[in-house]
Amino acid sequence: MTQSTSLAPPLARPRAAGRRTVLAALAVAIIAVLPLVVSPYWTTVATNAALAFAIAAPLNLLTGNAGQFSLGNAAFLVVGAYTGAYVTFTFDLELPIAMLAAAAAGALVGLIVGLPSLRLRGAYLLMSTLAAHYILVFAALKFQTSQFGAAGAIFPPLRIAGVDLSGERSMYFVIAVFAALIGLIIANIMRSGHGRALEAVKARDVAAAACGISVARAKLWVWSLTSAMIAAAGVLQAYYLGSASVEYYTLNLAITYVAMILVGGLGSLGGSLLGACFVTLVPVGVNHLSDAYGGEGGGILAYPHELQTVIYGLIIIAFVLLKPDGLIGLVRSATDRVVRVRQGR
Amino acid sequence: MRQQFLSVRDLDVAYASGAHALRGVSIEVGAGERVGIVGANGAGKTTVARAVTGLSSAFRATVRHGRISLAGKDMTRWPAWRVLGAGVVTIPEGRGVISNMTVEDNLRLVLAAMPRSRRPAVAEAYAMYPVLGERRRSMAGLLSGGEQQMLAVARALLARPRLIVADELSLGLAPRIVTEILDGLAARAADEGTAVLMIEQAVVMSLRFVDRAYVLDQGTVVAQGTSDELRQAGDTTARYLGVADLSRSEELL
Repeated sequence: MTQSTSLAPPLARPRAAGRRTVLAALAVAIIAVLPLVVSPYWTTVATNAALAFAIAAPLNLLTGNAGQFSLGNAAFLVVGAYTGAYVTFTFDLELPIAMLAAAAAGALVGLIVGLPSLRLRGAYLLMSTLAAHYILVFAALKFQTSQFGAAGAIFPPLRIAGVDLSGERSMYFVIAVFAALIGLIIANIMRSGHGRALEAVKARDVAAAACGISVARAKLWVWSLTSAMIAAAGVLQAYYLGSASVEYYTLNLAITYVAMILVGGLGSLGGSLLGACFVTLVPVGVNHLSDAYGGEGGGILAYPHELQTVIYGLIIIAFVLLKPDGLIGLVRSATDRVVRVRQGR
Repeated sequence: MRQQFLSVRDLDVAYASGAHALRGVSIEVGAGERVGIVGANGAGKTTVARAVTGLSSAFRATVRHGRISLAGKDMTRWPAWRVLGAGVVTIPEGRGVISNMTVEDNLRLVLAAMPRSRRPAVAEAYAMYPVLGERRRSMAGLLSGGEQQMLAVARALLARPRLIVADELSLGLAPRIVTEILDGLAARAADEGTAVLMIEQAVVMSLRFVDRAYVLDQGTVVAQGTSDELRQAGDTTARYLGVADLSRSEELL
């Protein structure tokens, strides 16, 4: 965020800060009012987008800001979901406690998955997280069979302090509040010394070390923290879906979140949000097209699921090639242009 | 005799590639003293800088034996952040500036490692090199080479070091710019009693700045003395440094 404004003339700074407050207030208003004005279907879509953001944003902090490539996010989700399920069923605990337990488990697992990052970078690191994905999902399968049976864990309707929150609207609010909290935490980290340290680690390990940053500590900290957030989101996701089963946590799912941050824009919270919305809306759009034109002789539109996968692939390639700074880059250049026109330049 | 601050004893360092970079190097830097390490390419100068600033492992180098101590305390295998905490700050070769970060954020990087109560204001850096203040919102990568080096020097000084290790500060810069940067560094170092260990290929420039220097060749110290002594040392020393005649080379500048 700070990076985008830093090339602007110095005077634009206070105005940018004011604009950020306005934007935040606007976002809160939209989030609060949305389910009251749109149909339940679109409330569901918004819930999915908020949940996707709560998972993509930590991943973006890890990959976009700290430069640590990871395919481990689906595995962290299942670690969270099953830790949550275990403490919920065994000790009959409420959601916030289950989420904290899941976050603790996620932090520990993230720390271990992050250990290779002390030696590996880029594609090699990615491969080590791929291995971690399969190991963790296999472990989860064993855990699932022993604890919950072959079908996985079935979650009860969500209740917090005796209040039923399982309705579509209340579920939306619970997830939106969680997503906002994640967004707030990450925004603060990005603006703090920790955030700058992560950027320095991404740019140049040695330069970061020369500035007194413990590169190893910074890397393990960000792996732990982001994995904790993703694991906590995993509990919420499982409650929302009503169940958690290993088959859901595929490599494909992991790639979906990577797609969000690539399409939205690496290293940007706004990018995570745009990416989450965009990737959530692709299947919605494809389903609409398929319903409308996908009948007899509808060609590829008769296969919406396959079509989605193809579209994801094409979109990722297109963004990486043509717009590496993602959707947020488009937004930035558009706002820059508006500002310039207004200043009469 | 000044109070001894940094002491390197019989240091032996090898890289994972097999290169045996240092063979029993011993160096002393007194408190507030300016000491140079000069020598040709590949003599092992940068390896010394890495070893004393805790950056060896980042370059896959290992201290085989020897001892590096700071005011009597052994710090041979300390990581870089701990070395910095003890007051030894490096200006690494290639400046160590993060190019896709603003000038101000670059300066703030070093503050995060310091206790809150001891953090100086970033403005100190702007007072030292005003051009940095003018460009504080620019990406560091957009600065000229000289400005980037000023940023690196100013950033190192913000950490309130007791010893600055400057590696190839003059590399790729015009002599006039180097003089400007060094004048700033010298003034601040003198004010605050900061010692400077200056590692340089540019011998003549280096000898003007330091009180005394070590001449390094193939991983060993082959000569040492005050700047004047080294200038008068004659052919043998000059040959190690790739300079025809040190006593006359001053005229080259």
